[in-house]
Amino acid sequence: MIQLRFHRLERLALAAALLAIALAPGRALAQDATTAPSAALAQDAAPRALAQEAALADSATGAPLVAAPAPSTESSGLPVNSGPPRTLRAYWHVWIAFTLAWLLLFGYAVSLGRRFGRVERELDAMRGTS
Amino acid sequence: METTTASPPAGYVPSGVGSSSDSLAGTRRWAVVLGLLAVATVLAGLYMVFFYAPTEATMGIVQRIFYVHVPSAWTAFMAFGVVALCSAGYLWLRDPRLDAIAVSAAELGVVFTTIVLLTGPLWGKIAWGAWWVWEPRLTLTLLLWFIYVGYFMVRGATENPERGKRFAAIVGVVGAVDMPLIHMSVQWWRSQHPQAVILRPEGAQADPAIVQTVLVWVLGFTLLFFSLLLFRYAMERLSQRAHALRVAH
Repeated sequence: MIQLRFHRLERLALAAALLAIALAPGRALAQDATTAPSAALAQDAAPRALAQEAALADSATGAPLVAAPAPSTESSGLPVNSGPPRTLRAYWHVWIAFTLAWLLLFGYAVSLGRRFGRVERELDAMRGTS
Repeated sequence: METTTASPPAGYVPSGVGSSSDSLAGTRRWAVVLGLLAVATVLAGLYMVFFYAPTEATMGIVQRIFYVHVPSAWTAFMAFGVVALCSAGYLWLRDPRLDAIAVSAAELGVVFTTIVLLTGPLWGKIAWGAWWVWEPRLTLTLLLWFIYVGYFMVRGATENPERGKRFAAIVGVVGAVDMPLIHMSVQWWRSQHPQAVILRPEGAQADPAIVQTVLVWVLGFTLLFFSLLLFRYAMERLSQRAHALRVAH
C-alpha cells in the first residue's frame, strides 16, 4: 500500500495546480477573444478553416513558419461561421505541453535539491563520527 | 579485466574528503547565478510566446508547442554530446570528475528528451491526427531515450562500481551515434516530421519574431542546463567523497 504524505507547502502547491487546471482553458479562450494576434484567427475563422485543414498536412511536414495575416475589416457579404477552426481548439494541448515541461523541470530541481541535502547530511554525519 | 580495490588502512581519510563541500562552493555559486539568468530568460521567453510571437498561419495556436519542444531537443542533444565527450575522456584518463560530469549530463539529457517525447505527441495529435507515428525521427528519438535510460541501468548493474562506470561510459559514447541520425533523418528518409526551419544552410525559414522567440528559449534552456549540470555535478562529487569515506571506514 502506497502512503502519500503531503506537507503544508505541497498541499498548497497541489491546490494551486488543480486550480490552474480548472481555470486555465477558460481563461485562455477568453483571452483569445480579446487579444491579437490570436483574435485574428478567431475572427476570420470560417473562410480560412478549410484552407487551413488542407494546408496543415503541408505545413506539418516542413513548410516555412509564416505569421497569420491580419484580419480583413471589409465584409465579403458571405455568411460567417463564428466557430473556431480545428487548430484553435488546441489550447489544451499547448497548455498541457508547457505545464508538463515545467512540472518535469521543477520536479527534477526539487529532487536534485533533496538528494543534495541528503548527501551533505551523510557527509557531515561521517565527518562527525571520524 | 576486473579491477579490484584494495581496502585502505583503518583511519585513512581520502584526499579532498576533509574539505567536503567547501571546494564545491564556487561550483554551486555559479549554478545559482546561471539558474537565476535562466529563469529570467525563460520568463522573457514565456512573455514572447504569448504576447510577441505571431500565431502561425496554418497551424495556429498549436504551433506554440514548438517553443518548448525544439529548445528541449537542442538541450538534450547538447547534454548527450557532453556525455559522449566526457565518457570518452573518462575511458581514456579515468578521471572521476569526467565521470561525474557525464552522469550528470546524462540525467539531464533524459529529462529534456522526456520533454521532447511528451510535447511532440501533443502537437502531432493536432497536426497529424495521431499521438504517435512510427516514422524515423520519432523512433530514433525514442531509441535515444532508451539508450540513456540504459546508461543508468548498466551503471548500476555491476557489483564493482568502477566496472559499471566503464560500461556506462561505453554506452554514453556509442549512444551518441544516434544523434546525427536523428538530425539527418528528415532528409535521408521519407519522414513525416517537419524539416528544420531554423538550422538550415540557406538560413532560417520562419517569421523573424518566431525565430527570435525560439532563440530566447534556446538560450534560456541552455542556461538552465548548465545551472542544473553544475548542481548535479557538485552532488555527484559529494557522493563520490561520501563513498570514499564509507570505503575508508
